[in-house]
Amino acid sequence: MTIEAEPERDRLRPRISQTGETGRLDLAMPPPEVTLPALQPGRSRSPFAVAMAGFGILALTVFAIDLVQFVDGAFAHGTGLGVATVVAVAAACGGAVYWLMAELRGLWRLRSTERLRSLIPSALSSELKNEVNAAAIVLGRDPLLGVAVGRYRAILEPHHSGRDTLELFSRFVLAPADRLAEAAIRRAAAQAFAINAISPTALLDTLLFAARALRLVREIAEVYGQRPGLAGTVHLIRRLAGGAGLVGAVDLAGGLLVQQLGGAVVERLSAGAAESTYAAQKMARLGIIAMALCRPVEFGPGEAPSLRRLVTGLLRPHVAENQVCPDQTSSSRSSGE
Amino acid sequence: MRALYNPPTLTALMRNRTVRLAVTGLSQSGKTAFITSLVHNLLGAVGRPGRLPFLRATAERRILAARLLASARDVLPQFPLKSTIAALAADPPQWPSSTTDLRRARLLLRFSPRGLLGRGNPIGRALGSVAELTIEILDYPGEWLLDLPLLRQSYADWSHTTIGLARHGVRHPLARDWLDYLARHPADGAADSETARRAHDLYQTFLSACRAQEQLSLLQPGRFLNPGHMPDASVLWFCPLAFPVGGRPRSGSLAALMEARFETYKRTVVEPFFALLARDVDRQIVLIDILRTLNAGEAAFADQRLTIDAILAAFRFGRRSLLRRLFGARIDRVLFAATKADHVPAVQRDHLEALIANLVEAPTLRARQAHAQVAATALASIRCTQDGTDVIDNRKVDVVIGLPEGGERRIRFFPGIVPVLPPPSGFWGERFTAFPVFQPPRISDAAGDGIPHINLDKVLDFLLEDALA
Repeated sequence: MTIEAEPERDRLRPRISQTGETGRLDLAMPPPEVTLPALQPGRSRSPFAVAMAGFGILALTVFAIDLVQFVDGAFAHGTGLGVATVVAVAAACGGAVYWLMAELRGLWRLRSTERLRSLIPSALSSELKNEVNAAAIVLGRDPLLGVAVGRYRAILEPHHSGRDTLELFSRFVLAPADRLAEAAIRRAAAQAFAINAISPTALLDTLLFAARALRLVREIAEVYGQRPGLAGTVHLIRRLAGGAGLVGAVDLAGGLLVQQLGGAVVERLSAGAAESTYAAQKMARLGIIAMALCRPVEFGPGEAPSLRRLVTGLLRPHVAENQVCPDQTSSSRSSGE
Repeated sequence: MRALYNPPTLTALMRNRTVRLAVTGLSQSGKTAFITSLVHNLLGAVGRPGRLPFLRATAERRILAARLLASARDVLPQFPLKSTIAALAADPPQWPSSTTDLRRARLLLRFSPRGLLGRGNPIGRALGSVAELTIEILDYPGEWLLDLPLLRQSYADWSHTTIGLARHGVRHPLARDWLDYLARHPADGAADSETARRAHDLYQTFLSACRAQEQLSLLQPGRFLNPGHMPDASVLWFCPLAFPVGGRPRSGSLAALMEARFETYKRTVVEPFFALLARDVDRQIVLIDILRTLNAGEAAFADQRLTIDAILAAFRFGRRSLLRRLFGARIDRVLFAATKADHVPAVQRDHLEALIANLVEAPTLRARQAHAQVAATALASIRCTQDGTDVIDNRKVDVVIGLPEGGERRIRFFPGIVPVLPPPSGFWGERFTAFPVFQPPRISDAAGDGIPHINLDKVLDFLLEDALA
């Protein structure tokens, strides 16, 4: 509403000024970038995070002092024992640091996704472009999505607005990622069907189903570039539980409870095949919810996969994978099974 | 060529189609540039789909081939794509000169449909999986559009309206000579061909001055400003005369002579043009150079709005259906585009889009009531600038940077604040008429790299998405 807010005398009039540059503009399309620019998150720290960091430093210091004393004690028993202890401690510390880094990386990716989603409704064009760019960098590290991200970056031009960038990202990167996620859901649904069909007890069925569901959530998170570690998985499950208002999650929890406590009743009420189909359907619904939670951009109208499409596609999961990146036929995603 | 000799596949039978696109726009609104960019970019869409990322068919790499169609049987000359591109690619480049007559561009796209009939589906592969879309676009002088509202007007009505306009506002000082002449030669005076000719010349001078000095748009008849190829120029020798309201010209009077020529003009010139323009049109894009009139002042802005409403009233909108095709074609998708979007920085393009949407509210409503799809966008068919910043009055502002026509050094251009609503009276300040004309960027005359643009792909996706689905 610029016109009412700014009186005519204060409004800037059209103006032309000279630059030192000469020659026609060259607006040829740039080649796709090979090296991706570094991210600049630039976020403020919360008091809780600062306090936790302080406690963490304290705990680390105490732990380090203990270690030094432990190593010192080992050296007191002999040089050989001391050296062996140092090597063992170094290996343990290295492993711990590696694990910690992986966890932090996974958590950072999750936060990055969540930040993008929260920004979309109100972000300025430049902010949105930065966040989408960050999400593209994360997804570009996936071997199967690398080509899709490369294409997206090749067509992106400076004049594209934040919304344009988001739409292109959705079309060129997220649509292929969705197909990968759908393929993962189909695999999981097929396995849930099999587990339910062959499981001798309801308890075992429940445990296997829960384990497979957990892996599906992690697979989907990975598809969207999140690669959650332990902390990331806990965070995801928490969000999934938080989103239990979503009918599917409630249904899932209810279904698990019924299987756990009232297996006999269920057995009487439904035939085995029907129950297996129901299990596959539950797995698919869980997968759709996980997709909705992990996707960096919320589904637009008509974009979310329907249960029917997923279940009917159970017989052709390989098609979905091949469609992800037609140019990259040799690579394939490790299913981890 | 193989398709000419082989029997058509089932996919081709089901999906082959011709889309007739009406490119509607006043003079200097960028029709020729739009057609050039559209055709050139679609021709390059197979090799360089990245130029049109928002056009789904190219993004999904479903366009398999594109070529220009030339038909010796076509009564209209072919759109001069090669020479236009060569002029744009030359050093120094040249913008296409104003269109002076009718021309037609016909483009054939071979594409793979989506879904069942597509290449990704076994059924589609069995049925052929390739369809063809022919796009027909007519190029013509924008001034001619101004004649369309005349079809619904009598000579008396037109005279009354035109003289009323000429006696008020910014038109009045420019119309003085013509109005004085009319005062000396009343409408009910004896018919005299020389008097009519002289009155016509003065009226034509008045129209030219309105356009050049005040950048007005509602300047009828359009052929007075751009006659095109006219076998008999005498058909133009008329002008409006001052009539009493509801009066009829006396037989043998000057007014009767003028009225006869007016009706002949409508019958022999305007009606055939409109028939050609509106016949079997499926899609319409209305190009409006809103920035120029926004800076030219309140009168120019209001006049442009009035003109667009009057022109669009001549077109029929409605959902496409078999019955409607049998009993008269309807336009089922209409897109209003504010051209020269590269003259405003990115942050203001949303304003431009909102302003155009608000400006065309009335025709939009009419089209929607007829169940046509309508959209509005900001468009630069050929992008000549890049975004930058400048400091004006100690304020950092976004500007566009480009090389002005005839200049050697690039300039920063701040176009003022583009309002999102049609501006109220308090908005208008000093007029700014030195609107820069930027040189086009470096363009390759081979179809490969295409032409840089802003939102051309969105425009194409809106207009052709269903035909390429």
